[in-house]
Amino acid sequence: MLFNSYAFLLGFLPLALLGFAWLSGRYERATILFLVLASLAFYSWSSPWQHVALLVLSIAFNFAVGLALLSTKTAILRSMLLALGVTADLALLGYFKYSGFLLAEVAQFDFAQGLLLPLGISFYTFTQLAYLIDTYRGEARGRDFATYALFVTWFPHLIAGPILHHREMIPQFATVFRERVQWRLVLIGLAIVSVGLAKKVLLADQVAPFADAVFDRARLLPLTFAEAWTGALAYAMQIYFDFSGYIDMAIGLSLMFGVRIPLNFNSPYKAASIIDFWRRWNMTLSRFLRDYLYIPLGGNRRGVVRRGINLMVTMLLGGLWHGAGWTFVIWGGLHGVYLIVNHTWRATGINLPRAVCVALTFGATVVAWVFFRASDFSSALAMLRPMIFGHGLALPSSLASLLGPLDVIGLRFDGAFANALFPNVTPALATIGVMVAMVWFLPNTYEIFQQVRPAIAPAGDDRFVKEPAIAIKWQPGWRWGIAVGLLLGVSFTKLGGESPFLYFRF
Amino acid sequence: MRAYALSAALSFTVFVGLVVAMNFGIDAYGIYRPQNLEMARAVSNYVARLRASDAGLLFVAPERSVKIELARQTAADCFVIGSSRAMQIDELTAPQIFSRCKRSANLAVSGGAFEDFVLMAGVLAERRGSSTIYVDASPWMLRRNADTRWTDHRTLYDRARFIFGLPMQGSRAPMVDAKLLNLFNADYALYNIRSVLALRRNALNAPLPGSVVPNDARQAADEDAITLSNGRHVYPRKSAPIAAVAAGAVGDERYKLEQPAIDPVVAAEFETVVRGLIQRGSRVVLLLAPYAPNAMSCTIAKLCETLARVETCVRELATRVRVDVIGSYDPRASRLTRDDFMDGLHLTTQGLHKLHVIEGNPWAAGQGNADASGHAGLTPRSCTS
Repeated sequence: MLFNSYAFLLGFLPLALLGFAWLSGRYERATILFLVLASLAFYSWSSPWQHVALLVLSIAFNFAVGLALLSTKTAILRSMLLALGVTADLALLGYFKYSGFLLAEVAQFDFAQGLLLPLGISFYTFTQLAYLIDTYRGEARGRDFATYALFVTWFPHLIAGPILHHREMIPQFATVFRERVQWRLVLIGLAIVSVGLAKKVLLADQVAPFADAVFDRARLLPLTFAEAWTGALAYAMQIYFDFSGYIDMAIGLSLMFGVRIPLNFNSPYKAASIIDFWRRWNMTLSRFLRDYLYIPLGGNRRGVVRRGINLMVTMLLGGLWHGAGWTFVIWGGLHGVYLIVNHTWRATGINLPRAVCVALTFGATVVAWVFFRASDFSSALAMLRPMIFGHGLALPSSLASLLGPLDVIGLRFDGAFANALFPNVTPALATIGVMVAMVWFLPNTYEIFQQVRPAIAPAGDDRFVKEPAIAIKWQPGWRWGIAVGLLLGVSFTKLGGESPFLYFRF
Repeated sequence: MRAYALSAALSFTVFVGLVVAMNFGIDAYGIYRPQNLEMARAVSNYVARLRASDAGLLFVAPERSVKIELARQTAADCFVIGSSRAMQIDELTAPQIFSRCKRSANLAVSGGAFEDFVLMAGVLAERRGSSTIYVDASPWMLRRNADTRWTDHRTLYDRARFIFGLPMQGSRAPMVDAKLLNLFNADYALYNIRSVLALRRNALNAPLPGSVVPNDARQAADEDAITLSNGRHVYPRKSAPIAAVAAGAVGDERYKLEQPAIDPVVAAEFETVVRGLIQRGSRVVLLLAPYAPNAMSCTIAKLCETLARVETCVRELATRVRVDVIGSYDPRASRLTRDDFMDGLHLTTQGLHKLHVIEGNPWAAGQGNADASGHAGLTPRSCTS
């Protein structure tokens, strides 16, 4: 079920809230069970029953392995149990997500044709892997199956994250439902949901056609410099507003039930370096990769070369986590290279103006998104070539009389948007321009609602409340009421055809 | 917090309520009540008067709405869809190609492009009975958004894409089962508002000028275009001479010939729609309205190359789906002279009389007149180029 659907907003959410409001504070166990069932119903809405069964079996298996780890004292046995759990989880993920890709690459065998990827499998697998590893380390002690099941299936995060950590969630689930529903949190949560929904339907979905128009034809048409950059920027904005909109909705929905989930997004395009970018983009995935891959590999403790290798391995696997395809691997690898360059540059001690750093980081990120979005490697190259003047620089024909003599240096005057990929160029550019300004100059949702702490920020919370260029603070007054009501109203009336969040496919 | 909650609930309710009220009250497409909108009724009345008229009516601005309504009301069995290059065609101006028709309706519209073709094909696909559909495949037909006027009928376009099984592109669900949810549709509300505003501006009820007499409308008024009862367009008598047409403007042979002319995805979708019409029992004939002889000097960069490529693509498509092709962009294939043209790309009624089915590709090297006309050697390429 999509958050941005009438079925969810008019059906599931009101029913789940009503049930929760009736049960919470009266019947704690029943509240947990009700929310587990509601989350499974949410999952089953758009998944075949086999995938629902798979999710339930995965939960049962991991919980059982966790219990066994808790009750086993022998080191070898514990290691074997952990290996069993991790292997089974990775095998499941590998079978559904990577088997087709690997067999197609290695044996040219189309094994996975028609194999449906279970929704959210990457997220619930990683969530449970972390739980198993921490149980092995003695850092997790969950013994209640219902609470564990709710931790894994919690519907706001189940399909597209953020990747929850047991340390943050299980203690909340164990206490929060003793209280009656807090209508104040419901209203604040709804306001955050409105912001997220607006990001998705009013921004991401509006800019998506511009990105699609360019990427879908990259290999078929000789794109101009302006078209290629417009498409790449459009996708950068699409994925930003799509993903951050989803995360806002997840945070807001969770808050409506009195549960705070971790912050996952903190204005990544304001990052002044790639290192900073990865502290702001998909923060829970970064945390997972750091804690369960990069640091166990040795992190930065074994010299510069080893750190570079560890970064590359981490980012390559991070890329592969997003999808079984070479474009994702290259995207991850590119970010690995960026990170190595970033660390090397940092060692020189040279400082550039912050605006230059932000622009460079943003540009590098946009270039990497080309691989992330392109359907295949050659499409990505077909996009990148015009982005670096591979087809020269095409300008409007109206400039021919003025700049005509410059054709000797590769200037052409057959139109900057010669392929007519957009119904109107000006609105397309204006839309993208406004969005870029928004991501750079407006506060993010966490900053707007910071006073109510709607999400769990990483340690050092002060880092997340830097005053943005334009300060906007939510207040529980009538002005904000009207603004939120209208935002929700406009977004609600712009819902329509199915438009899944991009991260659903991961 | 109470003020916040109340104001949020109130503003949400008022906004959504307004959208619902507009969608239900105006309902430009008659989704909830047939013809309950003043605009729809006015267009419907215009078309009803048009069909009953002897001399036709003044051409009016919402021509797409008129042609869509005509497609729904007419009892014709032959239809012409496309651009202004085909707007003058009917069984009187081109009797030689309408031999199988009892009655025709001309549904071509100014600047008619790919989206207009899909949209109108969708409307025709929902009519009962078999028909013959003449599709004007102008050179800008195989790329997207060559003309943006179709966007006023986005819902019908989405619906047509659904009918022909093309991937959905719109943000709304156009299907019948989405009627209820469509009440909340802000896009539809905006369209309703635009319809009301257009209604105030247009001349749907304007009388014909006194200079036009019944049964003589085909001579047209001096400065006013006329739409005849079957939808055929009659240009005003005082049309601009060719020399006065600015480069790239309507009438100039460069009109809408931006590069590249072929979007392979669009070409594939064009073929899908043609096949869809055939599967629904229609006979499809593709029409390549010729360009004026002066265009064939090929002095304008890429003009001839574009025409050759598009025509080659269309002919390959026609071969695959087994439909006839009338005419050629090359006027010499139909033995047309400059006198047969109003401007660079619109035929006179005299020129229309000379159109006929042409087999083989005149642009292919070594074939037909093209070879001897200075642009021989152009290598035909498929729709993927």
